[in-house]
Amino acid sequence: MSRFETSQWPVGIRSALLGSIAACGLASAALAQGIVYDTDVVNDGAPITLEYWTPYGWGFQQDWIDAYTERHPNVTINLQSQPWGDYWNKLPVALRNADGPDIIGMHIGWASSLANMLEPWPIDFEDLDADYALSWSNMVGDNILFMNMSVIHGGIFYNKKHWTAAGLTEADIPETWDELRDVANRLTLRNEAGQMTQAGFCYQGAFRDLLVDLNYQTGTWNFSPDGTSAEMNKPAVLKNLEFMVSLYDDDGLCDPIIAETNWEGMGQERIAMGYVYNWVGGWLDANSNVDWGWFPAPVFEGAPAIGRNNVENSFAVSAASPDDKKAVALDFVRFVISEEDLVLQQVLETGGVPTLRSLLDHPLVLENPIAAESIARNMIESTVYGPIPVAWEAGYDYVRDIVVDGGDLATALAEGEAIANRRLSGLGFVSAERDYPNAQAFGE
Amino acid sequence: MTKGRIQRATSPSGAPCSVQGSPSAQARARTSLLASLHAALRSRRSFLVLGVGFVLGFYLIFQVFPIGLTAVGSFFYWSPLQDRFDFAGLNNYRDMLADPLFAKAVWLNLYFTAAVVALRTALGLAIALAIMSVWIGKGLFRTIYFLPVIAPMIAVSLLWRQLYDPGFGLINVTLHAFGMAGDSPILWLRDTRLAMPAIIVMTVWKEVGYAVVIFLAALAGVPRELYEAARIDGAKPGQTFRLITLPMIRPAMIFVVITSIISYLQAFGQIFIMTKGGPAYATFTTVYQIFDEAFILYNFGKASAISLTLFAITLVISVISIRVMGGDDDP
Repeated sequence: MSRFETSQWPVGIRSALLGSIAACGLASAALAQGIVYDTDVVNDGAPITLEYWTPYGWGFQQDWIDAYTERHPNVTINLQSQPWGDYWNKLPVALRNADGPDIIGMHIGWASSLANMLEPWPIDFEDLDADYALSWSNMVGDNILFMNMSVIHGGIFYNKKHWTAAGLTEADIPETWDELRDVANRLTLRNEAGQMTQAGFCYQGAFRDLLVDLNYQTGTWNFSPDGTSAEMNKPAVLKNLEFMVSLYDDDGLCDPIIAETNWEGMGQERIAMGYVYNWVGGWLDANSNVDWGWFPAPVFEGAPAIGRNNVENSFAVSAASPDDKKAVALDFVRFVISEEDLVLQQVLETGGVPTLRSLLDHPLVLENPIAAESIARNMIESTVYGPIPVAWEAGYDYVRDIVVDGGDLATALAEGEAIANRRLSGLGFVSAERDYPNAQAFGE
Repeated sequence: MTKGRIQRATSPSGAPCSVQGSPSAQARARTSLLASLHAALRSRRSFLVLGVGFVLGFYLIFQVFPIGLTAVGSFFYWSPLQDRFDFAGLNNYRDMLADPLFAKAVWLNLYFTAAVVALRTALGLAIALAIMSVWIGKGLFRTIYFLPVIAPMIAVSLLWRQLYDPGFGLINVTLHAFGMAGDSPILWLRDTRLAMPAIIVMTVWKEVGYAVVIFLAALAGVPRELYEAARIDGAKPGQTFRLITLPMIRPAMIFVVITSIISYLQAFGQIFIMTKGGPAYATFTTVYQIFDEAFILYNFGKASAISLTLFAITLVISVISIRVMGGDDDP
C-alpha cells in the first residue's frame, strides 16, 4: 500500500490537508487579478515593424493597431487582409519558412494544425479565466495560444419585411421544427409558372452546420468516442439528413438555385428565412439594407443540446518570429485583451456572445438581438463546444453534393465518412465535443 | 588588349589602387573592378562562359532543384505543419495507389485532356479552314478567335462561372427564353454529370484560338500548286483535304496535340475557380489532387509522389502520341 493513500492517515491530518488545499485554492483565486496591461515602453523605444496577416476584413483589427501604436509610437504594425482560401493555403508554409507574419489572424478550425507553430502567451491561466469564459478553449496542451473573444452558433435569420407581408408576428416565432415548417410555408412564394420567387426557409451555404446541429439536438455525436475520427455513417445521422432533404423536396421550402448561400439570398431578398451562423448579421448590415430579425434554431423535443458553438478566434503570435518582434507581438495581444473597449469592437462586429464576462451586460452588446437573445438563453452552456478541422468538413461537403445530385443518402454518408477519416488521419486532431457539460444526456 | 584595359583600370595616373584609403581611392578601386568585368565580358570566351553559366544557373535553381526536391520528397513523410521530413521508402506511392481518389483523379484527367485536345484540334482546324476560305476579314477573325487565349484563365473562369449560374446565368436564361430549359434549371457546375463537360466547353472556348492561329500559319504554307494540280486531276474536296491538306499540316497538328496534352494534363486554374474539384469530386483532376494534398492537407510527400507519377503519365502519353501521329517522319 502506498504511503500516499490518505485513507490510512489520521482524521486530523486529512482535515488539515484538505483545509490547506482549500486555502490554496481560495488564495490562488484571490490572487488572480485578471489581465492587466502596464507596459510603458516596448523594444526599448527603438522603432520596430510587425506584420499582421488576417483572413478577415473586419475593421476592428486596424482599430486595435491604431490604439496600440498610439500608446507605443515606436511600433509600426502592417495589417494585410487576404482572401480566406489563399490565406490558409500559404500561412503554414510561410510560418514554417519564417517569412510569415508576426501576428496571425486565427480560426479555431486551424487550431490543431497550427498549434506547434504558435508562440505560447506568457499569461497565467487563472488571470485569463478570471476575465474570460471558455478560457480553456484557447489552450492546446498547457499553452494559451490564441484568444476567443466571442462565441457564435447557428440560428435563424428572417427578413422582417417578408415576415410582416406574410401576416406573421413575433408570436409566430417557431420553437420546434414542425412550427418552422408551417411558418416557412407561409413565407414561400411562387410565380404563376410555379417558379420560386421567395424561399421560405433555406440552409444554403450552411448544410454541414445544420446537420451537425441536428445531430447534437438528437443526442448524436459527430466524432468517435476517442475524438479522433468522424462518425457520419449511422442511422441517427441518416434520419437527420432525410429531415433536411424533406424540407426542400417534400415541403418545397427552398430551391437550391435561388442562391448559393443564405447570406447572398437574404441580402438579395430572395430568401425570407434561413439557418446560418451569427456572423451573417454583420454581413447583412454591411452588404444590404435588409431589416433582419433573429431567433435561436428550433429544437426537437428533449434535445440535450441546441447545437454547436464555434468561437471566433482573434489572433495568435508566430513562434518563428525574431525574439524582439515576438516580444512586441505578445505585448500587443496582452494590450488588446486587457482593454474592454477593444474587445467590445470585436464582439460587436462579429455579432457573437462575448467571452469577456464584463461585457455580458454591456448596453451595446445587448442592442444586438442575437447576442441579447443568446445571453438570455445561456446559449454558451446549451451548445456543444468543439473545434472541427477543415479536413473533416470535406466529408459533409461530399454528402451535400450528392444530396443536390439526388443520390442515395445512406451511401453518401458512408462515402463522406470515409473521405473525412482519410483526411483526418495523421492530423493528430482530437475532438472536445464529449466535454460538453450535458454529455450524459446524449443517447450514445 | 587585356593588358591595356587592366592598365587603364589600375589608375589613370599609373598609381596603384588601394582598397583602404581616401574616397577617391575607393572610387578608383570600384572603377577598376568594373573595368575588369567589362574587359572580361569583351572576351568572347568569357562572355560565353558567363552566358551559359547564367542560363545553367537559372535552370538549376528554378527547374532542376525543385524537380529534384520533389523526386526526393516523394520518398519522405514531408509535412511542414509537423516540421517532419522522415524517410518513408515507397509508402507515399503505396498510399497514393491505395487512395481511391487517385484512380478517380487520373481517370478524370485523361477524360478532360482527351476531350479538350480532340475538340481544340478539330475545332481549331475547322475554324482555320473556314477563315482561309473567306475573301476578306481574315485578320479580324484571327484576332477574334485569339482574344480569349490572351485573357487570363482566372478571369475567364470567373466569367463562365457566372454564365453557368443556374438562377441568373446567361446560358440558362437563354435556354429558358427558347423553351429549352425543361421544368427545372440546369445545375451546370453542381451536377456531377455536367460539371466536367461544362469546364471542358469553357476551356475549349478559351483555348481554341491558339490552335486556329497555328493551323492558319500551316495552311498558308501549303503550296497552291498542289491544290491546282489536284483540281486538274479531278480530286473532290474531301480527297484534297485528306491527301494534301492533312499531310502538309501534320507538323502543326502534332505540335498542337502534343502541347495541348502537356498543358491539359496539368489543368488547374479553371477547376480551382469554377468547382474546387467538386461537386462530389466530379472534377477532381490529378493536379487538383496535388494541390489538395500539398496545400490543404500539407502532405507534401504524397503530393510529390503524385507529381512525379503525373510527370511519367505525361511523358508516356506524349511519346505514344508522337509515335501514333508519325512525328518522327518528315511530312
